[in-house]
Amino acid sequence: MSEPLLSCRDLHVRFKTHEGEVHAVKGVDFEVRAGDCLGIVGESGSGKTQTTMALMGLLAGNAAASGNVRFRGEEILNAPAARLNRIRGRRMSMVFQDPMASLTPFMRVGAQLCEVLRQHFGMSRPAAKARALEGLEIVQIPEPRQRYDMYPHQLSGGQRQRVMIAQALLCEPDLLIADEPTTALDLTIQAQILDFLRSLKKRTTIVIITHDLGVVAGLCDKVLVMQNGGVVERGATEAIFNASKHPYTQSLLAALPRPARSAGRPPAAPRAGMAAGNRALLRVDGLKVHFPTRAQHGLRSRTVPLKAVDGVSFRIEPGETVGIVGESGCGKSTLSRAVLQLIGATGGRIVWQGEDLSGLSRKAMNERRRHLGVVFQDPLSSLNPRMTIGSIIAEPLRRFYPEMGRKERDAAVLKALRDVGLDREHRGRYPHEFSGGQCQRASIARAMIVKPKLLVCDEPVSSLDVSTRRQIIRLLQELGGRHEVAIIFISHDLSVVRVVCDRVLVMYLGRIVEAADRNTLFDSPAHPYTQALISAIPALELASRPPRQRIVLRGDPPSPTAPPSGCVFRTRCPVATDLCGEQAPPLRKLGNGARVACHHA
Amino acid sequence: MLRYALKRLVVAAPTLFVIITVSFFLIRVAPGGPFDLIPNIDPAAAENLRKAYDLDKPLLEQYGNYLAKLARGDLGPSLAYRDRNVAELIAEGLPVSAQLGLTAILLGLFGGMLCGIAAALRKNSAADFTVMAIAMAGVAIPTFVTAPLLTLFFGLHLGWLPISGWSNGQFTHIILPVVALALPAMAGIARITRGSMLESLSADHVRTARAKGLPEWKVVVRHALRPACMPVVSYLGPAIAGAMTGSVVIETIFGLPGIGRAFVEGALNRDYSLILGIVIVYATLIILLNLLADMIYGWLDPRVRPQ
Repeated sequence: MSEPLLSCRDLHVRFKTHEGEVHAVKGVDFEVRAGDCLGIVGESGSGKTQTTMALMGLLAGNAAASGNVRFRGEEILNAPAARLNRIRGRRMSMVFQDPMASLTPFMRVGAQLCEVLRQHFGMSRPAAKARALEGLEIVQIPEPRQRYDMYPHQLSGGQRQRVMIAQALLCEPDLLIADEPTTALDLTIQAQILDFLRSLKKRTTIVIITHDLGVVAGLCDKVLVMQNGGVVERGATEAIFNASKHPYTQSLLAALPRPARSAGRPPAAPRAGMAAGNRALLRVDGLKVHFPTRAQHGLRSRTVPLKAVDGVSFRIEPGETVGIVGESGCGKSTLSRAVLQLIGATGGRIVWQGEDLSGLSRKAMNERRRHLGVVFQDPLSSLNPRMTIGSIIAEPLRRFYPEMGRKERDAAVLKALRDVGLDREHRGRYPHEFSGGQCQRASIARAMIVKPKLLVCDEPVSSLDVSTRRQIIRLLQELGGRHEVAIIFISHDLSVVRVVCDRVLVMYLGRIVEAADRNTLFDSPAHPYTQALISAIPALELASRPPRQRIVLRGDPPSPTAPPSGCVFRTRCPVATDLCGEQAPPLRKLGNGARVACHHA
Repeated sequence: MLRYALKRLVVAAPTLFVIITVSFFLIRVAPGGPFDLIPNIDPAAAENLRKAYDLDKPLLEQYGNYLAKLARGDLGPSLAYRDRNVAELIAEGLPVSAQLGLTAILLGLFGGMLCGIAAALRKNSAADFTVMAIAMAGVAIPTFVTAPLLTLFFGLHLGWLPISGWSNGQFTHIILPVVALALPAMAGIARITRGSMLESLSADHVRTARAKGLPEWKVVVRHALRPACMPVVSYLGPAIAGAMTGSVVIETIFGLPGIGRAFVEGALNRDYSLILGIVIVYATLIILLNLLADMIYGWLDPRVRPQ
């Protein structure tokens, strides 16, 4: 058998830090043959990214790599930059996670593309431009000529990642390394990019680094699973998914959504009062939140409303968990903030236990906050870095129970810590001493210590690793059940929503397009957008099997400052007709109880 | 971009007005008057002088008269230099001060950035530590200490350079004042450049540039340098203001015939119209140069350009 394209033998990466040496990669071996598509899977800290950084000679200054890396028969580990620069970008190129940060912000897209061609092929400017435009066409960017002259911040997230990929493919490399290429992207955009990467397999050899086994399942032929800097399992994708031998891989697999089965607990049984529908815990009626934005019209600028939330109505009963899903910019976070009165509404009513919140004074509203808890996405930045965990958790008690004695309060804090699975020693520590999961536990303890009736969770697990994510979800479910707290669970991740929620609202461009209970929504989604979202979940599904019907939406969501006429979804809708452009479909009830805003559902 | 500049200029007019008003009344609050320093002056003669310059009128009326004249571009007569008006005095001193200030700012900018970049590229080396130690000293030691020290060493001890006077801007006469004036700006800019360059070198897009196979100098010049310049440009406004106030000290120490020295003398003589005239010049320059700095900022970063 011929020599592999890339072989990596006993690779170690060590970092010198103030706290001593960190051994990030501990003896990794693997090889990549021409035509392979290899997935390297692991959670943060597993060493998967540092492994590829070592291959490319991109390690940070305080890192040292040892071992052997042969690429096309040439030893390249720790090679001098001049030698590496004949390979990097030419024979072996890379796509990074966050395309906004990874493209140079003040250079036009075209200049960044041409730079590669001029460097490696010594092309003239016109020749490089022609080739770069071709490259943009290959990655299916709309209107490549216009995009060529734009700056990265003027493109959408998906377009930026396409530019990154185009840049990596320009010199037709033998090996393409993609480090979490879809992690920073929205679900439907992720589906587009994965679809494109799948089509690339014929052109080049690919190594994909990801934390998401779902991404690997639909794309890679071989898998390497890493944990704590070492390889714990490797093999053909099929074999790993069907008969994994290592417990760590098994736990990652268990965390994956399976398309065939409806997972999670059964929807909450209707309670007394809920069926009667006389008094909901929270009722939102025609809520609108518009932000004024400045837009230039010729010489004069005028104010154009950005309709972040545009006429949303729903109700929440005591103890139920309602998911709000949608892509970034759909208004789900704005909606939650308006419900909590953290931002003012432009129109509509928010009725909390029969009382309109929008009319309340600040003081009266603050009294109501005892029953309105909130958990934010980024656990570290939502905890005050100068306060200890104990005083952070005790703060709501000081506010709402000022008469409580010190002993009593300490006891309550200890109980809250225990409830969320933290130790009593943790209360004297500061947030930065904790992992993301522990910080999120502390956030939950802070929210739950005054026993709220409604807990708003805004993407509570999005910044956590897969295994931590499962623990936090389990914790929320357990606390929700034990304390009879209603939860608004905001997420872009349908596989999480499916596990946690009783009912789900799907939002698109500031409006609810579908509302249904969990099983109805996932088993028979009625709105074309919901259908696309569900088919975009990277599920445990193998490339070798006949693919399920995959709906890949074209293009990006339109700007909320200029929403399309009629149905807001029609510009990306596969079934749109003339009627959709003329009339906005109202939310109407279907036979199975779901409410849907679509003319064709 | 042009519209943005025009907008800024329109906003600058009220700022200037407030500065003039505050300065006008502030100097009048200071004790003493313009003719107190004339030796053995007859009280009646002093009264006549006051009358001649309209200083006997109510303060508000004087203020109104001053604004009316100013609107016609007349800065008024100097109270201390007989038969000279303020516009003439400024026209004489400004070229000297401008040459001094501009050279010092350019030296501070390029010298500081070069030192900062060199230190960042050789992080934690002996060169880095040396440059940063000198920069720290440059920030900490005020001009009125460095200027005499420089004069002592290069002017008197080594005898290489003249210690005072302008001689129509002869090169050897400029060196010491420019260096003394540039040192604090250079030190500040070197420190800022080093910090921002280090941050810029570890940015994701610089990693991408390396992954593209570009040689290191192209990575630095094309991808890392520009964002590293941004904090320097922000610092340029205060640095220019610093150079202007510094020039007051430097011109006095080296005996240069610039508006800085005229300003100090005007203040000591209570030469109201001269002080106000120079304040207007300084304020206008600072506003214009800050606008220029903001425009450079927008040119460097397309994301902050007004859409």
